[in-house]
Amino acid sequence: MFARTAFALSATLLTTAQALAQDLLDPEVAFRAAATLIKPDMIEVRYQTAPGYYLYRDRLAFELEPGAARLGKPILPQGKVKRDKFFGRQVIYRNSTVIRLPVSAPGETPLTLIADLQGCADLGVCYPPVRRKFPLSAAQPVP
Amino acid sequence: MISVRTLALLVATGALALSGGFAAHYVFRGEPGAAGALSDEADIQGLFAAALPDLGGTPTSVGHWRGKLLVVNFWATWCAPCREEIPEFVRLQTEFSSKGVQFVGIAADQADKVAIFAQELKINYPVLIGNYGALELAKRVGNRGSVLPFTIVIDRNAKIVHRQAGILTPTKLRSLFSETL
Repeated sequence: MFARTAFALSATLLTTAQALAQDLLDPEVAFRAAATLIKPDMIEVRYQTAPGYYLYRDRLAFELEPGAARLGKPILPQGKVKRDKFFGRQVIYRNSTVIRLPVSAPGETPLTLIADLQGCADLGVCYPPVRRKFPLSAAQPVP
Repeated sequence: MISVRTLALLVATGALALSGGFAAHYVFRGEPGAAGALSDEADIQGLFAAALPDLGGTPTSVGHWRGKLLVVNFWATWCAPCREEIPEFVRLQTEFSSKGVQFVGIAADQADKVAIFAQELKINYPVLIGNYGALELAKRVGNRGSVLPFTIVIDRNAKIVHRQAGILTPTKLRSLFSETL
């Protein structure tokens, strides 16, 4: 009984591995991101990280394309701690993550947010840091 | 009755199969002919010809070691699994250098960061600095997802005998060496 369970578990791991391997995602799909100007003075960045993938909190970086507007300190969710053999205690984000970025000189639109990220897959590969740009138009008034 | 130790062994076997299955499936998956679309000869010639600075700044190409059994490892300092496998490469380089095995690291990173890491990890084989251009080079030899670590093994006839995304274990490397040398 126990042996059968063990074999089943081992086989499941193998099957899962093959399934995951075949589905190893392109970074744009593994780490989806969208940014919105939710208020004149606040940008919201939403990450949707695919199952089996994670983002490093400390490798997220944000800036605005040159202009009068400046970003304040990002409001970051807690995340989970990953104890890495080499990099020590790292905070990572999985699944849905929402980050808010205060804008210090509101009113200037359109804005372009530049967002950097870097993440890995649990299977033991990492993706290079990527930079994405998000044009942001004026916040829509809340009905 | 199965023991806990046996269970752990079985799970570990599954996990090993997981990593092996992953590598093979990842590298060669995709639309029909994806792997075949890569012309080994053309890719290898491109890799052999690319001149990248070594840690001393001297432009060097992988082709310099043509004729050896080459293990070319693409890595970066920001990549934890890359760091994990490098100490094993260092050990294997020492063990197999007299048998014609040559490891070469190509770092998708900046020279100053790579130099610090190379010192920390006591890397005893050549490391070339590719910055992010290294990823393009890796792509041309089969790393379609641009993930790291990524390693290829090239035999003495300049033929790629193994491609792997993810950690390449010493067991797998030893097996490749015994088949190829």
